[in-house]
Amino acid sequence: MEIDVRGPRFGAAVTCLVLSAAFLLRSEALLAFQVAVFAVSSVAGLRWSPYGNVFRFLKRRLNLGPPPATEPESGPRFSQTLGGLCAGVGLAFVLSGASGIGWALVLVVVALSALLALTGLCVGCELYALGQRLRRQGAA
Amino acid sequence: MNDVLILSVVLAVAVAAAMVWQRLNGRVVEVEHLDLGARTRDLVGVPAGLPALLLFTTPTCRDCAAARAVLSAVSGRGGGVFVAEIDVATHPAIAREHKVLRAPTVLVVDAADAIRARVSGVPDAADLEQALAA
Repeated sequence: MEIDVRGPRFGAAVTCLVLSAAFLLRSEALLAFQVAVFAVSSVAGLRWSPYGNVFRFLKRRLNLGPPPATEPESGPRFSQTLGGLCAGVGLAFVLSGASGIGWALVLVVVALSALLALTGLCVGCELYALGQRLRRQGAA
Repeated sequence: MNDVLILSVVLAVAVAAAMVWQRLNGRVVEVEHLDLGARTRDLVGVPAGLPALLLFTTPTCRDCAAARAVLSAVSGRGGGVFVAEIDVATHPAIAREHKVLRAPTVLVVDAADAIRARVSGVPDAADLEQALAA
């Protein structure tokens, strides 16, 4: 599936806000909510991404116009998986009492989603592309 | 208050990284003249005596369409600039030979088949023309 390149940036901005709030409030509930959001996008695909759907709604409502460019969903979807794993492990640490490590992992996701929102650089997507290249080299 | 400080530092680091990225992305970097190599020359079919712009792409590359457009614009204007694309997925060995780590990557090749500059990211048309004229 091809997606609007602005979508992941919007999603990253919301993710950054949600996780920053979770950290400041030390809210496991907010963190768990974000982990669930990551999980849905990762498992079901970006068509079902909660923030992606908000973005689509806003595009229509605010008349944001057609996509300046599209990209295959595979890179961004892989990034959702990585974000979900990192935030999920963070949540597990926090729930088991190791809140220092737990919230540190959450802050990693905060930093990377801020980077994506600000510049469009998707580190997870680059890792995905690298992985694809290495996999092809291995098979060749 | 401590948490606000920690979050601020994390976001400041992210912003700093963002600024570094914006500067490096799409910047035309001059390189020590390296011969293009017979393998690449044969694969792409660079005509002798013409400068060339080689665009390395991948199947999932988001900005390659934009890079392609810039290259078309530059070749359309100057005339006599050969533009070609190399899919890293189909030709991984060539990509490795030229140490291509990202897509889009553009190699600026002069009329004597020497690589003069490279760009990681979408280049600016004016920067490319300047590199070709050098």
